[in-house]
Amino acid sequence: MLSYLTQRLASTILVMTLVGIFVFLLLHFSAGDPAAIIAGDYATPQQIVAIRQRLGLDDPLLVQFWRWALRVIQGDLGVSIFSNTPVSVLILQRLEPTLSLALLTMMFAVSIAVTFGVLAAWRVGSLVDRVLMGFSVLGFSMPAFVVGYALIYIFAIELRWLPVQGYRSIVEGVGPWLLHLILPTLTLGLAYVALIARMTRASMLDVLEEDYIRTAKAKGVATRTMLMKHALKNAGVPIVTVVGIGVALLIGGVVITETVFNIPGIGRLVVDAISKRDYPIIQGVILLFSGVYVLVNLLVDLSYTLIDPRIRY
Amino acid sequence: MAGQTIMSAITVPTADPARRSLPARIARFARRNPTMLLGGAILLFFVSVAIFAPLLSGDPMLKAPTRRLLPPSAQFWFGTDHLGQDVFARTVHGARVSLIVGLSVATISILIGLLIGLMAGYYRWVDAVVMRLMDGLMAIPAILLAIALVALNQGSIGVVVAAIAIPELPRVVRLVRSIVLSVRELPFVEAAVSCGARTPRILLLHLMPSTIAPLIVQATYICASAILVEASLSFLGAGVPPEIPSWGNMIASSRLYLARAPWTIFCPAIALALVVLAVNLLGDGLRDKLDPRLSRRM
Repeated sequence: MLSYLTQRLASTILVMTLVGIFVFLLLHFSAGDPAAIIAGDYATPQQIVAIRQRLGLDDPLLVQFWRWALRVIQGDLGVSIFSNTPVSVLILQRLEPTLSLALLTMMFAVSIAVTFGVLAAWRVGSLVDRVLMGFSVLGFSMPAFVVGYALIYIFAIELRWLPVQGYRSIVEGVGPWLLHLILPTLTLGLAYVALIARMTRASMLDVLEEDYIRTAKAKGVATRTMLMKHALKNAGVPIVTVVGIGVALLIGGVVITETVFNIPGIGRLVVDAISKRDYPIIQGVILLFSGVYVLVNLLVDLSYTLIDPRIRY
Repeated sequence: MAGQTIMSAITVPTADPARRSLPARIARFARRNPTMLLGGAILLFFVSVAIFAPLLSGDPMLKAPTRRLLPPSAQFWFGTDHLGQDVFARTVHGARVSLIVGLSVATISILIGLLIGLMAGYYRWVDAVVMRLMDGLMAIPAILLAIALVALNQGSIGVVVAAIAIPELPRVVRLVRSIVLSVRELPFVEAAVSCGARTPRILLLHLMPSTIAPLIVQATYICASAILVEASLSFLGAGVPPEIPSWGNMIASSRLYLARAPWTIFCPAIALALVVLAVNLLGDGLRDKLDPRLSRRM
C-alpha cells in the first residue's frame, strides 16, 4: 500500500508539473509578445518595456520557468492586469458560488444517476431502461447553455416559479441560496447524470450475470438487498471512476452555467477575463481547475480499496 | 472465389445480401439500424442546408433597425434579432461554421493522433515520453485549454479548430496505442518482421488497418464534441469572431432578449442540438456495426 501510495503521488506530481509547463509555454509560444499580451490592448510601448523588465522576460526560458514555478507552489498566481489584484485573492472571493454549485450538482447527479442506472440494469429493455438510454444520448447532445436558457424560459419567465438569474450567499439563508441554485444545478448536472447513469447501468449489467447474484436470488434475498448490497457494491469501482473522470465535464460546465445564470463564481471570472485579455487570471484558473481534477482522480484511485476490499496495493 | 461459390451453394439464396436488389438492401439496412438512419438523414439535411445556404436564404449580415425583434412570420420564418437581422438566414449560415469546425477537428485530431499513437505503440522510448505528455494534456479541462489558446491568439476559425483539436488528441493517441500494443504481438506482425519488412511498412500496412474501424467511430464522437465546444466557445466570447454568424455567437448576442424574443435563442439552439444529436446517433450506429465488442453495453 505504501509503495503504491508513493508511486501514485509521484505520478500526480509529474502530471501537475507537465500541466504547469504547458500553461507556462502557452503564453510564451503564442503569437505575439508575452509582455504585450500581459500589458493588455491599451498599453503604451513604454509600459510594455517596463513589464518586460519587471517580469524578466529577457532571461532564458528555463530561468523564467523556475522563477514562475517557485511562486506558483507558494500560492502566488500572479496579479490581474485589469484590477491589479492578486489572482489568488480574486479566486478566493469567488470560491463560494462555484463550490456551492459544483458540490450540489455532484450530490444531485450521483444520487439520481445511480438510482436510474440500477433500475435500468435491473429491468433491461423495459420502459425505464429505454427512457434512460434515450435521455442519456440527449444529455450528451444538449449544450449546457441551451438547457439553461430553456429552463429559465420555462420555469422563470413563463411559470415564474424560480428566480431568473443571480446568486444569494448561503449566509443570507439556505432558502434563497437553494432557490437560486436549482436551475443551475439541473443545467450543469444533465451531461454528468447521463454519463454516470450509463456507466452504472453497464457495470450493473456485468455484475448481475455473476453466479453469486443467482445464488442470492435462489436463496430468496429481497430484490432491494440483492440490488443494493450484492450487485451495486460490486459494480462500484467503474462508477466511482467515471464520477472522477466526469469532473472534467463539470469544470467545463461550470464556466458556461455561471455565464448563463449570471453567478459570480470562478467560471465567470475566466469569461470576464477573456474579453479583457487578462491572461494571469486565465492561467491561474486553469492551474487551479487542473489541480482539482488531478486531485479528485487521485482520491478516486485511492478509494478503490475502500469500495472493494479485494483490491490491494 | 471458389470458396464463395461453395458458400452460396449451401446458403439459402434469400439470406445472401449480395443477391438482393439495391432498394431491398437499403430497406433492410434501415429496418435494422433505425437510429443510424435517423442520424444520417438529419445530418444529410444539415449538410445540404450548409452547402446551399446562400440559395436558401437572404443576407445573414443585413441589419435593418426598422424590423427589430419581429416574431416568426411568412417573411421571416425564424423572426428577426435585436439588430433586425434575419434569424433564419443566420441559422442556415451558422450550419456552415459548425460543420466545418466539426469535420476539421475530427480529421486533424484523428490524423495527428493516429501518427503519434502508432509511434507510441511501436517504440518503447517514444511511448514513455508521449504518454506522460498526454497525461498532462488530459489533466487540463478541454474548454479552459481552448479558451486560453483562443484568448492568446487572434480569434479565427483556424485558431478555434486547433484549440479544440489539441485537447482531443490524448483520447485518439491512447486508443491507437492500445490497439497497436495488442496487435503487434500477433503472429502476422512477427512474420512481417522476419520477412524483413521495414518499420514504416509494418506500421502502415500491418498495424494501421486494425485501428481504422475504431477510429471512424471515435471520429464521429470527436466531431459531435467539437461542434458542442465550438458553440460553447463562441457563446463565451472565445470562439469564431463575432461578425461570423455561428450558432454560439447568435445565442450569445441574443441572450438579453430571452424574454422578449425567445426565437432568437431557441432557433439556433434547436439546430445545434439536432446536429449534435444526429452525429451522436450516427456514431452509436457505426459503433454497433464496426466495434461490436463495445456496443453490447454502453
